[in-house]
Amino acid sequence: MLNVIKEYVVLKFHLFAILILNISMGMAAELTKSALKAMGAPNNPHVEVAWNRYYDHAGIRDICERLEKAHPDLIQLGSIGKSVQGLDIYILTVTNLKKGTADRKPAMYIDGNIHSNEIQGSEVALYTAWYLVENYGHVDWITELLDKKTFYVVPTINPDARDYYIHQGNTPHSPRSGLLPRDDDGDGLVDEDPMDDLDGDGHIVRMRRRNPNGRWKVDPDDPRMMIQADPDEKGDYDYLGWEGIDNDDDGRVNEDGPGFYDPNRNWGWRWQPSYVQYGSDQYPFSIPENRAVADFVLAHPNIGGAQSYHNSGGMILRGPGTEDDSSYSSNDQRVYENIGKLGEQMLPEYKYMVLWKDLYSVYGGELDWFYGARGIYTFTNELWTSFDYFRHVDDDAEWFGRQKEVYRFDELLLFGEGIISWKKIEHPQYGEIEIGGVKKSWTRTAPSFLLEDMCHRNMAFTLFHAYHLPLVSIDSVSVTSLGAGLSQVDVLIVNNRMIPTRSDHEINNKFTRPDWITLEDANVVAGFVVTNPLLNLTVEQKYKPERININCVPPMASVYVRWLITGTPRGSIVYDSAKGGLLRYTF
Amino acid sequence: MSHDKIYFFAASFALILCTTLYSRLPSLAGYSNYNDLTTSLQDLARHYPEVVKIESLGKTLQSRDLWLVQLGVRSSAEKPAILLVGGVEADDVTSTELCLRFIKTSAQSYGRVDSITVILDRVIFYVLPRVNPDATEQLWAPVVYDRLLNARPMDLDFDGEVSEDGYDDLNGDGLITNMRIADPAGEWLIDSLHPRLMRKADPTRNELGAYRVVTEGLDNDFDGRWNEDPAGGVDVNQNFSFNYQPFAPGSGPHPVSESETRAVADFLFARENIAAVFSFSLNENLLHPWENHKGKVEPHKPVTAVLPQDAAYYRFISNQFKKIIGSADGLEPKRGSGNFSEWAYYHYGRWSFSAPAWWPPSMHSIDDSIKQVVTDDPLRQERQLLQWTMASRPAAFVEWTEIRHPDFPEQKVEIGGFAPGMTKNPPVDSLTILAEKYGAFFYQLANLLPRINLYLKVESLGQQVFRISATIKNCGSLPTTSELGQQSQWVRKLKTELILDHDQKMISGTRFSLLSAIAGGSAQAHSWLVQGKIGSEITVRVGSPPVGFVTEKVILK
Repeated sequence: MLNVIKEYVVLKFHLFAILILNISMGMAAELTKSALKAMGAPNNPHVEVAWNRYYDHAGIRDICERLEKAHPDLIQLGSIGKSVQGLDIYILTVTNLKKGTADRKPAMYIDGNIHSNEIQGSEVALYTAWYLVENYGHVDWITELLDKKTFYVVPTINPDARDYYIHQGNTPHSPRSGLLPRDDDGDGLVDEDPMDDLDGDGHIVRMRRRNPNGRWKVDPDDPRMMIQADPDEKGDYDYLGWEGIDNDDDGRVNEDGPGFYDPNRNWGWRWQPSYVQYGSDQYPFSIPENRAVADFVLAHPNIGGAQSYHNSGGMILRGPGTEDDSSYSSNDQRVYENIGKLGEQMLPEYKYMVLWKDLYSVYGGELDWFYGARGIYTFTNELWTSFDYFRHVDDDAEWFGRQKEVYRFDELLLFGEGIISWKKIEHPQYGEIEIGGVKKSWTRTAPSFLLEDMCHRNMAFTLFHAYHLPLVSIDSVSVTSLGAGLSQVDVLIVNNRMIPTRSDHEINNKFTRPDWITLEDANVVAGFVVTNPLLNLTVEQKYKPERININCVPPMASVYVRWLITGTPRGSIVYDSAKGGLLRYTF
Repeated sequence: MSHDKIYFFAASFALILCTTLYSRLPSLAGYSNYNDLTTSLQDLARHYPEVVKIESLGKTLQSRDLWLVQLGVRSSAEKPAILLVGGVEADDVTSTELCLRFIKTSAQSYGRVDSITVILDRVIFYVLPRVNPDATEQLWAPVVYDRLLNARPMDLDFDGEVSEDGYDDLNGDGLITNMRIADPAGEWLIDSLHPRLMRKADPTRNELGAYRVVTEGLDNDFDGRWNEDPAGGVDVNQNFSFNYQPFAPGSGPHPVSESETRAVADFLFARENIAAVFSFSLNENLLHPWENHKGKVEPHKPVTAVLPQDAAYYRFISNQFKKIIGSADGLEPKRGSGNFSEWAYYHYGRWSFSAPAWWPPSMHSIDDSIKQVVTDDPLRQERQLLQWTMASRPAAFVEWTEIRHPDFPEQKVEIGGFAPGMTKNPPVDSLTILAEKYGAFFYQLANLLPRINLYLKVESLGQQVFRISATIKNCGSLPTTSELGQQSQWVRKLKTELILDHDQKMISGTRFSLLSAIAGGSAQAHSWLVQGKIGSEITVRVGSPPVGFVTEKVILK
């Protein structure tokens, strides 16, 4: 008994000693258990997550729930609505919930996985929430960020088809759509002829069939690869497309799979019907998952920045999606460029690009709706680039990497795990064929050892985006007596970040309210915006002079307002901006 | 708020209380408010259960049902359908009345009048008599105005406040009309020919404006604008996705954002059998058919004009319409953004026809004295309406009367103009002939729809191999699919289907195939090679939901 007590005391003393060390020496927090902390992720997180794999909806829910439980003051788990199949679309509100109101702080919205096969955006989004809350109180920069700003993180906005991708047979490129059933081939039936996982391995690969008159042959460099026979050479094989059969006996194979629409062509900005923009579906926000996001964003006017994650190609995309969209002023373009170029530094070989000009035209894209309809500065990152294979710059690289590089990387670094070698199988319509090729989880998604790197770098980009959301302060208030009971109140409001409190697009099209600077509890005679304090140039606001409307507090700049008041020179200045926050100063 | 304004409000309010005792709009008597409409529809469904079925497509924000009527026998989604839509313009109640009368006449005639019986056996009419009922109900509210906005609370002027500056009934007549304010800064003049009307001064003719003209009300939020943010939020007829105008007052937060528009769109997309849509509206194409200038389909280029082949059919149907209903000179068609009728063609992919429910008779038939008025007269339509109004129901014009207005203490302010509800809706007893004519047009439209006949032929090639040849003929006037419909994912094409039994084998051809459009009076051929026992039977089915289906059998011999 005595021994036990003694041990307990010793143990307690040890804990106490560690605690003391932690407090007295910053470095001690970096030495926990038996490991030295690497810079970046915490050594002893409250929530352990392996950032080297892809989580399904239940896995995402588990991480979200554990995060909320461990950090109740920093994270709140909610749902913005249900998917077609009734799954919750989870949202994490990440901010210092004890300081200010989450929905009144300038906010950054982050989502991933709108294209259901482009899964790693969910991991980046989750990693962001995790990293923020685990580092709060440890890294000053993060602490301040969560005190001042709010993050709305929706790990997946396509949960049904994410699970379908993970748990059913798919290619790296399928299904892309969500799971709202649609008739793709016009025969009156929905989703009746999908691809078929003939060997039940969870991967849809290619089919080939021996044919002495075929036009394809085996690549002499790697027998797993097929290349076209030379023009003067006979081939050995036919390529028969993706693994599948003609399920509905219409003479076509795999022509009507789950979905099909493109969820990223269905948003309510410059939407066009599907004969103009393939995949746009019936009308803007006919897809419930998109509508849930739109409803959330419309109800949260404090969102000033947004990020959506796709794969792949290494791009930092911004709108407009179409050439004829003229909503971008030079000021707004500058904001995009400042942040986008920062991203190019942080994300090696990612290119900052304008969607329609540098990639292709998109009507009804998500990023265009965020900016076009709400004035929110929005980027889409295409995660994973062919640079990641052997880290050499290849300006002519193909979208998902050169085939030879993909196969070589698989051979040297994945030891052949990423590619299924050709194997014989009996096909009900084609007879004896072979199937083989790249697994669904390879070529568009990072391998385990590069995933955490991808999560961190892309997160860092969005944290800087969020950092540059407006940080407004009431810089100075001065009262000057003009005699005869009349006083002049001069107020300077300053924005210390690169993003204005309202985009030019909002100001020019007047679709959001102005920022308000109000003088409360004073008898206001007249109110002005001071356009040039040095020359004393002012513009009087005749209507409601106590509440001055201003377009915005511009980036890294200030706004100067003035009132004439009578009576005791007392009052409160309230700065009230949808995207710039709510401040009060009493004098 | 100044004390002046408070007293003024109190006075107006007292007046409202006194005047609500009698109906302010005697000439809307006989038109159906929402409750009347609901009762009428329920009665029709009860009296004619075989022909009339009603259901609700959903509720508005104010819990009114969006009524759908299925008119036809043994309603089936495999029968082609025509959709009729009323109340797209919420201040138009004539259209609802015409819908009701069409339903009633059709139901009464079924089994009695052969020509109508045949149509109702073959075609379904889906009728949406009033698609923006919350807004329309304003015509029966204590203060009446021509309201187009549904009940969604919205900040229409984006000043951060919701519905803070609506109309005010300043003269206490229960009607919102116009105010003219004597003001040298104004741009308006009293028209010399018709002093009841106001006209924009034309500086090229050395005219100077002397009035400002705004709708009746106060500047409730002191922002220098009058009635810029009244109750409600979204005009159903501005909320569809074609030519949608973001941020315009009444267009809504995004296309198809409203319970009304979404219910309509969801219903339409779910009913693949709808072949043609008719809506009552000024976004019309039956008096002034859509003309083709540059309509073509190219990848990644929005289509903004009717496609050339379709334009010819729009002209054809317009001629049919004018023959039955007559034409309207002086009436200018509207091309409003986000409107329903253009959406139904460009984005829903169906034939979409539209005409106003009613318009005032031509001017020269009323008053010879103004025949000489030039055709580019900007007041042409208003003169026509005024002539008709003064001749048929002068009370529908509120004569200009001076009032004291707190926002303009030093200026002369008069209130007057057409009473709300009076510009689109004539006295209800004048609708009998119009309803008959519209009915005739709807039946005619049903007769012009594509209809297919299927002719089968069998040839024996020996060894129990047979060639089955099908000729599919369109016996209607319109093609089986419009040129635009051919492009649309949402318009089903004709599908041929060969149904074999287990002893029969396809030698050549596929079980299903889709056909391109067949013009009225034209035919398409299709053939298969089949192996089967002599004397066995083969079934061929051809059709599409908007055209209907036919099935024929042949014996192999």
